[in-house]
Amino acid sequence: MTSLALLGLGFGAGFVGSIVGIGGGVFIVPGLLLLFGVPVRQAVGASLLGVVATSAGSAAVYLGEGRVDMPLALRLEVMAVGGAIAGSLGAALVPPHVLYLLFSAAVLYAAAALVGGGTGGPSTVTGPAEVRHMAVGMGASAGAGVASGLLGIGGGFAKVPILHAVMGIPLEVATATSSFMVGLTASASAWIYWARGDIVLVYAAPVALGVLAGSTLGSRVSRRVPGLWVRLVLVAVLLYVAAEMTWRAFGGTAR
Amino acid sequence: MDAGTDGGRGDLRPWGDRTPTHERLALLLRWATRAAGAALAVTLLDRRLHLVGLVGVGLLLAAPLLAMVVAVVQYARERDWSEAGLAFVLLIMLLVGAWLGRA
Repeated sequence: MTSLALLGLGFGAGFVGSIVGIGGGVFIVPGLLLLFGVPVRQAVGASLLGVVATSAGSAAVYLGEGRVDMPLALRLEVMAVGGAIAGSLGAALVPPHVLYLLFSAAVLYAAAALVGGGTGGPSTVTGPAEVRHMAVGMGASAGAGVASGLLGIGGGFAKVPILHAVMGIPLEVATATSSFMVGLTASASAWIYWARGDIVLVYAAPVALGVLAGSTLGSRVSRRVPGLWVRLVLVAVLLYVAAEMTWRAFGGTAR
Repeated sequence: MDAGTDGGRGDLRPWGDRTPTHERLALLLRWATRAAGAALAVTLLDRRLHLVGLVGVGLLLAAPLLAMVVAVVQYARERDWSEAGLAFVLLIMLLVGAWLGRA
């Protein structure tokens, strides 16, 4: 029964995450913490595996379409993977209530990114264009890597706006490149969580499977779902999650 | 070089070119995801087969590492040494990260 519920959580996170383009990690960790009482580091471990699964599935499609900017992804990932390793190693030293607080901040940022929509560059590939602000992109990638390692999120909600609005990458290339990147970042963290015994099969397997199925279906129906309403509902959910996790951070119930 | 770019150093970049590197990585990730999904589904159906689930988790964790191996080999074959070097650095970083986690 619990496995089915975890499968459902992963499916829902993967489905809505792929529809609004922010990945599923930001829903999986609070879902595991608040609904199932999973210890925070094991929730982060399960989420990281889910992020790797989602990334591998979607990146396979995007790579097949030639939409992933590989040279750019490789350069940014050197910073992101470094950040992820630092964040994962640091997570063992950070008290759970601090992780709750940091996650709450990340969730608020995700909500803001959903409201903002991350516009600022061309939406489709219209021809040759110039990549701007490479240094900003590398710094942001390192920050997203640290957040991924600490909190078990892919960081797509941060990477896509940076690639698109700041660096001037067309949105469809930014989304595809980010999908490929988050898998590499999350895998750097996931190996460390796995080695520490924080990827527990009983949680991680159903969540990863659910995310895989949910994101696959979500990417197929995303054009038919009214995006505005989904965004509004998700912003409300994320605000509730941020408030709940902040309360737990200060209420002493964090594990 | 992939997609006619030099990695974002301010040059003009025509996006959307599908290169052999793209195709090989897509093939690898597609099959790794399918195999991992099947293994995880088997575990979900019967918990006694948790070893199969571990194989699924291992496949997911190994997929990005294998992707970097493929990228190194492919870029080296194309004599694109800067991209091959970057992919190699990433591969080493991922391996060092895994090793640090065990330490």
